[in-house]
Amino acid sequence: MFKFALSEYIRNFWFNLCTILLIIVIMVLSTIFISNIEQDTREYRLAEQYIDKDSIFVTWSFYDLKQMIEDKLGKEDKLLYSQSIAGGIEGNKDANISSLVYPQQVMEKLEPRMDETVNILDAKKNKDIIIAYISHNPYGIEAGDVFSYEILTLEGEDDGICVDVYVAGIIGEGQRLYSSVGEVFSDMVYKDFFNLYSYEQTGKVKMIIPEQELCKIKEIDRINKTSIYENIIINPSDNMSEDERIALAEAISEYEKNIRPITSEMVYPDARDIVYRSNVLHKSELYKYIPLTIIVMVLFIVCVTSIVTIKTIISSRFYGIMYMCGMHYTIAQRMTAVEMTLNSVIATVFAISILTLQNKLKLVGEINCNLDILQYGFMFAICTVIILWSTMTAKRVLKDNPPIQITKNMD
Amino acid sequence: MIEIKNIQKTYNYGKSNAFQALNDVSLTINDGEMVAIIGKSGAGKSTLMHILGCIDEFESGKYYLNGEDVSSLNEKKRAQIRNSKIGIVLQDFALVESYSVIENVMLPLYFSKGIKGKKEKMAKAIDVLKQMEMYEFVDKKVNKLSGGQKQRVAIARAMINNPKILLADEPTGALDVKMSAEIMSIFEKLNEQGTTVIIITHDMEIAKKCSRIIEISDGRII
Repeated sequence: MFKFALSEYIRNFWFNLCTILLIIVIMVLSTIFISNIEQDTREYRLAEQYIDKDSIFVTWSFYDLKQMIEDKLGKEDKLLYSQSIAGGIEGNKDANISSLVYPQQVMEKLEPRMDETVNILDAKKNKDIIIAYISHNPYGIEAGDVFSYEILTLEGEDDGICVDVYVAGIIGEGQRLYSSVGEVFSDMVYKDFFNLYSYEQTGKVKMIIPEQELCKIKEIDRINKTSIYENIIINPSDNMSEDERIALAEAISEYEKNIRPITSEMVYPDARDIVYRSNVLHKSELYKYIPLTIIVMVLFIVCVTSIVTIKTIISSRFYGIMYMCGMHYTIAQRMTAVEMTLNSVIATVFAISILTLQNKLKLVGEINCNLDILQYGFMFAICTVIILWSTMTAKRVLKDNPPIQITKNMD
Repeated sequence: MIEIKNIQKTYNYGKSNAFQALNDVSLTINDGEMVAIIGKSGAGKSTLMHILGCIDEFESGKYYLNGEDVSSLNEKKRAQIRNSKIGIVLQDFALVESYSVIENVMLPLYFSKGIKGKKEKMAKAIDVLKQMEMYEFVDKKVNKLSGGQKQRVAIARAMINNPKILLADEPTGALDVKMSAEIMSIFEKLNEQGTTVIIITHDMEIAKKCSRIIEISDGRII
């Protein structure tokens, strides 16, 4: 049966080529749609966890304010921020590598897409080395390398803190990182807590250090005191009374006035407005991609049905001959399944190759097309649907074109 | 031996456009006979052939093939009959045009249990092609052959598993007089070797070459 399926596959080359191209297009488009929905949803979910009507937020500030906030908060109150560190390579005065320390919640929910990764099992055993992820860089640092990272404490030129860093991955271009955009504006939404970063465009090398890795450094207190804290989001629990919340907000406001000029144009939008606008925006993003995905899938099913129907009708004479030679007619359905399986496998290989090339070389610019479990799962689902739907379509067509009908047409 | 009793075959059975193609048809064909079934167009000849060849089914009656009740068999068994007990030859040759001669002849062997290896299959196909005097065309694509050559290939394929019965539906319908005569001589030779040959035809000249003529009209044996 497989031999005949293969010979039929070659005989129906153009149909199969059309099918392969169709599947590739669907897989690429669906990967892009899903990646965008997924990215947006992850950002939204993270922000949703920390921003509600009672939230207080600060775009960026220093250690003193962060410490004051932590002192005033209880265990049930939520606090989120990323920590920005300046640094370079030990022995290389011209090297400039700034780092973002990601809290665990952000690392789990928004781990950046990596262009390269390496195994970190061995590095994890070494308590003196910190594991981090670096962007593309002009220093020749690649995944798997260990280099001496000099953290600048701003206490003095020779007072840098040197730590060994194991590079676990190279951050992909065009990532949205949890870092401050630097200013406040009145119509802020959840997306504004994420900053688009590109090494190619900015020329600035960035490193992401998970919070638990930074804790390995003995001089961590010195580092913390000289860091900048970005996107500080405070979400008081129900245990904090309204008066306490207002007092906290006023204390923060007083601190900020002392460290930088607060102009009358600087408006801190109400957290309730941020929540409302974020909900509206997130829904509009979903409404943009989900209907598109559905329409594309429907068109895809229609095209596959048409191709399989036409191909089966054209092949029906072949099936009729085989039937006369002693083939059970249901084998014709199985041959369609074999052909579609081949098409699916070939198309999947090409789709993954195209998407991988796009991610590496940015062939058509910055397009969000991650290849992760969700996307692979969707590709597998597309293949399964194709094979099942094609087999069912072929069965229906063969039922309407039974062998007796085909033989009659040959008489 | 072929024995059919009171066969009724209606197309679109139960629907408003039902058409009775065979009405209470009974006949017996003994081993080794060469029988012609003649009739006008639409008389029911091809329908009868399709039933005899286990290609089509019928709603009532009995069909015994060498004593076995074919009407009670499942599709798997019927496929085995088409593969090894009955060879079928059609007017338009029913060959896969893009395959070579030997590939066409080998087709039934892929559904046979007896011969497994490709070399054995090819050897058997070559043997049959030699009998049909088509060995020199063994690797040629079928679409390059003449009508008479194609029909020889079709006969070779039909005989590859040494069936006892050969059914031919208008086998010379698409051929000229000379080629028709060649094909008929092949049938005669096969019949001499013991194969039961049943030829469906509207051509009386062809029918006269058979030992028995069965006439069918309006779905009934006359």
